[in-house]
Amino acid sequence: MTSRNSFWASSKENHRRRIWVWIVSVMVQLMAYVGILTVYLSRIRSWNSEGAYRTYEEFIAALHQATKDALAFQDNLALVLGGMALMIGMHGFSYLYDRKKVDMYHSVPVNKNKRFAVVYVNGLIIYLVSTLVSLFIGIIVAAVQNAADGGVMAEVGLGFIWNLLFFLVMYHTVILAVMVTGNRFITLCVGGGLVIYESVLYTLVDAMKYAFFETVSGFYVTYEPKLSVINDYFGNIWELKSAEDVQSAARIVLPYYGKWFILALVILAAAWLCYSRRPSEAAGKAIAFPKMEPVFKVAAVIPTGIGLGMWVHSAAYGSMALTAVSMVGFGVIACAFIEVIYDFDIKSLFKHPVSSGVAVAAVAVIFLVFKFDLTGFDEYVPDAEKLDSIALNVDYYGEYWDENFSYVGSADFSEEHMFLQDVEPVLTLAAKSRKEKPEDMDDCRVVNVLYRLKSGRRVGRRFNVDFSNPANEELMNRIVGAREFKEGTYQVMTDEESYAKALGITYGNGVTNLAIPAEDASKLREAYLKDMERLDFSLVTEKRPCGQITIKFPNWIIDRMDVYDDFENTIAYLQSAEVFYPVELNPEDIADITVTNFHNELNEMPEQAEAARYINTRDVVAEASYVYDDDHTVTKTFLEEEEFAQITKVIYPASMSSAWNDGRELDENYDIYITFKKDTSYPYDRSSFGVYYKFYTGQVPKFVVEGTAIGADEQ
Amino acid sequence: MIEIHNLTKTFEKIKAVDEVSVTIKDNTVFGLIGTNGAGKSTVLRMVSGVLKPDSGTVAVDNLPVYDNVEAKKKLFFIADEPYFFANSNAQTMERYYSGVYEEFNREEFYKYLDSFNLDKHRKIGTFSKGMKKQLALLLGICAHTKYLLCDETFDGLDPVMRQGIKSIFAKEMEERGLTPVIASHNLRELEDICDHVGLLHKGGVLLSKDLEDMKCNIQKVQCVFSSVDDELKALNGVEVLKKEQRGSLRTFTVRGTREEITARFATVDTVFYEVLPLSLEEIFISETEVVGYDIKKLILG
Repeated sequence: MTSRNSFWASSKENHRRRIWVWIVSVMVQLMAYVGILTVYLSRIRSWNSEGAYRTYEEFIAALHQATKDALAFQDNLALVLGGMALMIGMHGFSYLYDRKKVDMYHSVPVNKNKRFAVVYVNGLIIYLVSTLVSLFIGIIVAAVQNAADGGVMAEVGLGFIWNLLFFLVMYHTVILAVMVTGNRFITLCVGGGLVIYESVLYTLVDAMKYAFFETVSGFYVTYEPKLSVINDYFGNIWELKSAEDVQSAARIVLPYYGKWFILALVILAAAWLCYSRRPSEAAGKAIAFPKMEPVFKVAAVIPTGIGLGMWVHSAAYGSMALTAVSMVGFGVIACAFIEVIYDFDIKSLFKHPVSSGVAVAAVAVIFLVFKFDLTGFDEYVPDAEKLDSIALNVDYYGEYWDENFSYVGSADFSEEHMFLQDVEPVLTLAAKSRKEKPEDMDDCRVVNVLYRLKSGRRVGRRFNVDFSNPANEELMNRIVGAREFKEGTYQVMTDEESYAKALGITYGNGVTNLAIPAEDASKLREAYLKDMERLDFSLVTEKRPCGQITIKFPNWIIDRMDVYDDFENTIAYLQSAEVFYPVELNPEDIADITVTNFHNELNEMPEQAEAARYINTRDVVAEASYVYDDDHTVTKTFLEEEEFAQITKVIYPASMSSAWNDGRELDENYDIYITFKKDTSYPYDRSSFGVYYKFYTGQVPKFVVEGTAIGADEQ
Repeated sequence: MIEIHNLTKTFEKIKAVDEVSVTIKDNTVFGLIGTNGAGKSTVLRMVSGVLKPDSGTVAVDNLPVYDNVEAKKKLFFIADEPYFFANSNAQTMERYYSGVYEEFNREEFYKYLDSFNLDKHRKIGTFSKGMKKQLALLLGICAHTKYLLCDETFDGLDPVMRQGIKSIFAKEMEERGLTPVIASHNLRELEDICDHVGLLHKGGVLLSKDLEDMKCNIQKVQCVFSSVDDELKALNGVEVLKKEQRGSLRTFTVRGTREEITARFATVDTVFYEVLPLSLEEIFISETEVVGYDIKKLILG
């Protein structure tokens, strides 16, 4: 028999007063799991009846995926879990907001810790029971509809723990927020603040870095919130949903299980500590602990002032004066607002001027630190002696994959494979970049660099290099010509295993595209690696590839390897395989050449795009295009072989722009469309009528310029 | 016994209770009198273990009370606005308190409910203010704690109910040594209930005395002396707290037992004299005027 004052008797008594929380929790969980599952499954059945699935296996796989999406890793569930944590946590301890309730609960002979434990455990029971009942019903529904098997159930189990731990962190955060506040509104503010604070700080620091610093780079080193479960949850949910099996899902979630569990424990301990020290007279006040009022105020004012100031910075096109004034101004307003909230009294606007002064001064100091780069962020170039190695990306973006043929980003690949030891050219170029303006460079390229320091610290930065400046050529040759650089830039250098698994190989020169036996992949790679020893900066910037080898791997992974005229081993192989054709066309094979002159000199380039040319990243260059106007466009078709002979010497296939030469050496003013004769032996792609080419910049033949001049088509 | 020693509590910058020291003896009805804001509720909330004193101690039968379950088992605190669970009835509250107080007497509780015509099934939310106070008192009495702390609980109770509660107090005091502590801002509400009274003002204790002692040791005498010499002789060596004169009729409030004062006045030549009983209010007026306070302003309004 349980004592009248035992834990479980108290728990039972507490549950009696949480009936509506029970009802809402069960309803919400049923909707979130069973409701969603039913919708998903009926949708799959409806699609199936419309013939969306070719085989029964496909249909069953879709049903299984629907069950996993609904019961294991559901992207909408974070909101439900957050809402439940808020409701259960706040309701459980809401008596602390009310003096009448506090007088009763704190005067009765019930141990404080026991009361905390009862309320806490009951909240957890409400979550667990409502979740497990909903999952149980959901699994039955799925099983009846043949939408679950062992693997699905295992993933549902993984998802249950994932969601439970997420709930725990949120639940404990809400309890902590209740403990440090005295009314519901402030609990919501503080709870919300605790959940997003770290992410907000990271976002603001990032925004300020990008606004005030020139060398900031998120290419290699990004600063992600370490403690934000929301970040973790949403950062992984899509990967989890698309996990092939329970092992793949487990690989993703297991590290978070430990992290979230520890985080939940720490927050719970903090909540309990605050509970045990919370004065009863805190009921109804804004903040339970008077000493924490200035702390919360400063902590809230700094991101508010900075955030709103940065918003003005963006709205005012980077005006520093407005940014500074708005940061301080919003800081002052935030101080006043918080004081009013603390006292629920408009007359308290300017109360506690010391803490307000500290908060506003902190905002101002942060602005000054960034504005005048007082930390020397942009000037940072590490000592060579302190460097272990360097990884960098010199405006080159290839395609990379891992051992499972899953896509890998170029930053991740070079970080994993590039350990440049000859660091001096990189440091020299980085230092030199601080003295040069990008707008003064003819061919400004961005270099993203990762400094690996001997201390273990990793620092990411970016700097600009003028590719066209001869003074840089030697330094760039030392970088690009280094074996470590090539290993971190070209996957073919190190990944022997993948090439043995090639599904198909073709060689193309922009016009032809001929197959090479897949079993020759290793042989071709061997020849290519020999030629790669010759590759350096001068080669890749002075020459354009004469062709490209395309290798298809599983999972739609495609590797494109540039072939240069100097690659004699590769070309010898290609010739032996009878797939090598020179990039320069034979005029005798051509039926006609149609040249379109867009007359960009008359077209408008948007101001933003013009400015973006100096920033010179690949994305921005793509944006930096002219607004074409049909009135200025002149098209002429050339039919003479003599004309073909002149044109073919100065054109390059538009489809074969190299990863090194991003197209800017080709004249964007002209489009060239070449139609081949039907009886030619040249193995051009006969599925199309012709091929697009571009002129090399500055090499457009005079007769083409004249023939496509404004008004020439009217003569 | 509840011993309160140098108890101090400050809310932000306001000192609500300032070095209060009072001893509440067992098996007495202790009245805590004071104006609004005098610190009565704060003292009771500290005695009941709700608030933690900034300094000073509260010991219930030698046990510190804050955060101490054993000490709290001896107390039942009825706040000025007692809290009842939402949508609850008397039965719900009984179930809760009988789970919390091991000695809670359910039979007695339902018997008292009947006596006071309180429906155990009726929602407490529909009760009048007085009915809620009755219910809180009955819950407190039936919890069978040694000390019952009532904050303004008697204010507003009708005379019949007051009499009923008073009878129950008397019974419980006799049977199990209940010690009620009653805080009120109205002296008249406590006059017929308390044995001992403590007067709080501005967070401090002005006086704390047994009511009987006060009543026995202070007398009001109306008298017409034959001569001035007789007056001087009668009052020689008597502590006069207050003196009024209307024509030849003198009214004195003096310290001493009725017998002592009667004996003293019998020795002098008077035209008329009479020793009259003092109301609690008059006693307080006299006692506090001695220490420089105008009690009428403090608690009689």
